[in-house]
Amino acid sequence: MERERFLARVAAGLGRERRREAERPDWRGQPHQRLYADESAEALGDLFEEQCRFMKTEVKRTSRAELAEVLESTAAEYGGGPVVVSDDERYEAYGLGGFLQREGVSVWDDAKGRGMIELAERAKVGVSFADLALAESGTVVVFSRPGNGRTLHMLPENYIAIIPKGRLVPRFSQASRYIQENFIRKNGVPSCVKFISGPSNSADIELKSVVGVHGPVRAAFLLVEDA
Amino acid sequence: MPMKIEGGPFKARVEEALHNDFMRGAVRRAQDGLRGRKLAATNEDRDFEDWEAWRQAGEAVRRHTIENLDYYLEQLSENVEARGGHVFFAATAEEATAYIRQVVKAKDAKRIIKSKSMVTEEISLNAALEADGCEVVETDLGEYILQLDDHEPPSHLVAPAVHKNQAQIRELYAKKIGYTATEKPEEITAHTRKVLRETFLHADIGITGCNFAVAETGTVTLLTNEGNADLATSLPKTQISVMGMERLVPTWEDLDILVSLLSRSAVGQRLATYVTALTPGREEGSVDGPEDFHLVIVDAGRSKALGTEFQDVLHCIRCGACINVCPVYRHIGGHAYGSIYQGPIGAVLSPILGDSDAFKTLPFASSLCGACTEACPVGIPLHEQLVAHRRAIVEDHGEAPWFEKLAMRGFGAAAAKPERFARAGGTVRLAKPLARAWTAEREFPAPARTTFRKWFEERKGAGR
Amino acid sequence: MKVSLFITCLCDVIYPDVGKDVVEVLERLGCEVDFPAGQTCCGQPAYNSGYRREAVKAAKPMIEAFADSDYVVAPSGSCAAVIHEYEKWFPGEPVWQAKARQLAAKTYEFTQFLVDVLKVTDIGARYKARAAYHTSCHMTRLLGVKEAPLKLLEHVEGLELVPISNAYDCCGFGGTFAVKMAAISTAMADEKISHVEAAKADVLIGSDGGCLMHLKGRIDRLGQPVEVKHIAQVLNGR
Repeated sequence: MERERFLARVAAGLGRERRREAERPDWRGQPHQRLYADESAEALGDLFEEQCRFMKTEVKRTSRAELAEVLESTAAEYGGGPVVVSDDERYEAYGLGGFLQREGVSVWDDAKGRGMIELAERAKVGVSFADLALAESGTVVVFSRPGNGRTLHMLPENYIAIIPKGRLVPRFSQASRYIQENFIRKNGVPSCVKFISGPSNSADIELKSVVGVHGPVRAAFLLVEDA
Repeated sequence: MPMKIEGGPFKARVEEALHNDFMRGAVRRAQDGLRGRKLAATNEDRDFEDWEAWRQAGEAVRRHTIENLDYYLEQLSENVEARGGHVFFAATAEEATAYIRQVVKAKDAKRIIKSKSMVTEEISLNAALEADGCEVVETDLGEYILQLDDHEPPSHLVAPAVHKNQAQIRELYAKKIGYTATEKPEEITAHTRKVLRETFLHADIGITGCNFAVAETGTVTLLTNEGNADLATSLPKTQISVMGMERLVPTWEDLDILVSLLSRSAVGQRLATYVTALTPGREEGSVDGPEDFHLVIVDAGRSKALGTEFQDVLHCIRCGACINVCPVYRHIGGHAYGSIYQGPIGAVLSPILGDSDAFKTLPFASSLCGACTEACPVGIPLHEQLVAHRRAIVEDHGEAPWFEKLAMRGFGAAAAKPERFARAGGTVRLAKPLARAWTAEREFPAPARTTFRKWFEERKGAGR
Repeated sequence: MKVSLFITCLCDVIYPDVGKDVVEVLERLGCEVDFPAGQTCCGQPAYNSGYRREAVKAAKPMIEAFADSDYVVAPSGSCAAVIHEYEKWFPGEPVWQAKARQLAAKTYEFTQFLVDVLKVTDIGARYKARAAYHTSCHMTRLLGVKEAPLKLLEHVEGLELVPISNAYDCCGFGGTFAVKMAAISTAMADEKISHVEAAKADVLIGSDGGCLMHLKGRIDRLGQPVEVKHIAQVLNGR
């Protein structure tokens, strides 16, 4: 059905003329704005860790100095390689340049086309930086962009996210405000915003929780305390 | 008739269900588990502080959205189109499937993967595409299991295969896909992963539902724990998302409130494991994500609720919390309802969306205990809507057994005149025609020798 | 304090003894109890079955009957809850809506009245039993009375209260539902009874005649030894 006819039918159902504007109610003072809003960075870190455990994500709290070692050992625990990492200049800044040079590690390259997806599909580990992290739900938020493919976080058997602690916010509310301020008021939202809270899981068989249904079987979030 | 699932009339389905001890045990365990998880994440989560305030916020967002539905649908469609996506408004199920079939045909697509979507069940999309020669694969684990079992209908909104046990699933896998491992859920799941990974990688089109569209950005948000919606919208070249016309929110702030309520109410999590917000127009140079994005906005009977006492049912966010507390669902399971929507929400929604007479029995399948209303995260007065359906069926359509009408007329006449009411022996005696159905299963107490009324008068007469 | 008793249909005809216990307890606590003879039925059976016109015919004399009362007390959470819903039964009739609102404001379920208005929780009752309490749905969910009966029962000497699992699940009465959907109704009762049995309670106490009649009817049919009592009978135990 043509759009205007469809919408006119809706308006008629509501018993009024077609509406060309709407005033959103004021949500000030609503609970989503208060929840964890005043927690210290320290408390948010603890909350994040506790919630990740609940969601079966491994959390490793580390520092810039130790990050390379922690990433190495976590990748080794997860089968070593192949590893696919996002294309991100922060690896250098976080002292992970050496890791990128390691054998079996590939940096995401969209120019490889379908081959890139096949590489990710065979990978034991996918690694990316978190653009934001949510303490309440133990969540990593990633915004799509070239070099940070959507499937990088989903196809490899295991997933590792590096979270600079400054990126840890209380909850979804701060993420939506971030999106509001950095994307909606500027160039528009990324085509894919992912909120990832642990390994892929299901309870569809007798409500027994299992991991690794379609996406990562295991997930580790590395929280870099001094970043 | 879309919506309707195969089987006999309601009474016969109930009889069958009540004799299915395995199913009833499974449903009881599922209910207790899901209800417990939800409570732990809502009323009992001390950090979450005031659950009632959250519910009210959720209800306010939903009410505001539906009251301005035409405005926000326009905004949503304009934003989708501005980003290069296509929007189709479907007044009926037929219009929706016809549009999707045409897209599929234009792409010359044969392999289609889906992530769980109730609205595509409503419009019988799979059957239509299969008739066109497409292979349509459900990727939600529960839905996949049902699809293997000759398209068995789902029995629960968020746990569609809850009525099956692992031994039955193992047997099904052995028969249909040559599965040889054990009945352990871990092994069944690992096998499913392998099989479906291949399907994902080679699919032409990914079809999804839509948990919430965001009007201000033209975004479709999908919540899963399995990650299947992510793969279904990353690998194929074309994405088709189908949404009921009410499934949207104005802004990302509103999305926050509803995603929080849905995750907590449906599965007792603070957030679903994967919340994915998709807007058309993948970034220049990206290798994954769809090149072509279609959003199909479906009415299919929803507008019949607008402006009526049933309008609030459009606030529903399909969390299934009402189903998990319903004592009737607990004993008869999902299939007895004969509709793809079960439990209290199914009994309210099915008679509105489906024209079938068969759904007119459903509003009576409730003890009106109010557990559904209490559980609903967006405050839909479900038990009151069940009564409203009953009233419409009885008073507007005159569809009630003659003896019941007679009894009720007698009740009204007597209740209007207190002396007559007392003489007639009150409601209890007026209800005598119904006594047989009572005593078939229960003893009926002998009325006392004197009524309270008489005792009180005599006592007063005696000087108390 | 003057209290008008709304006896409810079931108590009037089937369980007059419960009514007597209510009167005695209220009088012992210093209330003057009257019984407005104009009362009929709250109208719930008709309303919930879809017969709103017939239900309204019952509601009007009820509203009139208690117009001069200070307090209205009913030994049933469900019937009291209906009075609190009356206002919705009169769309577009502001006069009746106002009257309905007035009645609702002074209407209480029996235990709610004792605890919230009379401010008593220990009324000196004695009742020796191992008992389970059945929380009726309308009383807890529609009227919002959850704690009052338990507070009162806690103070009954000799009474051992045991919890039952899935207490929040409906017993399956549901008015005409019990006869229209008798098979489902019975299945619900059977589960409730199995939880009472598992708790090894010898008495099941409730605050709503409908639930109790249904459960007792099923318990007797199954030949179970569990006794069923209205809370007024326990609170009047001495």
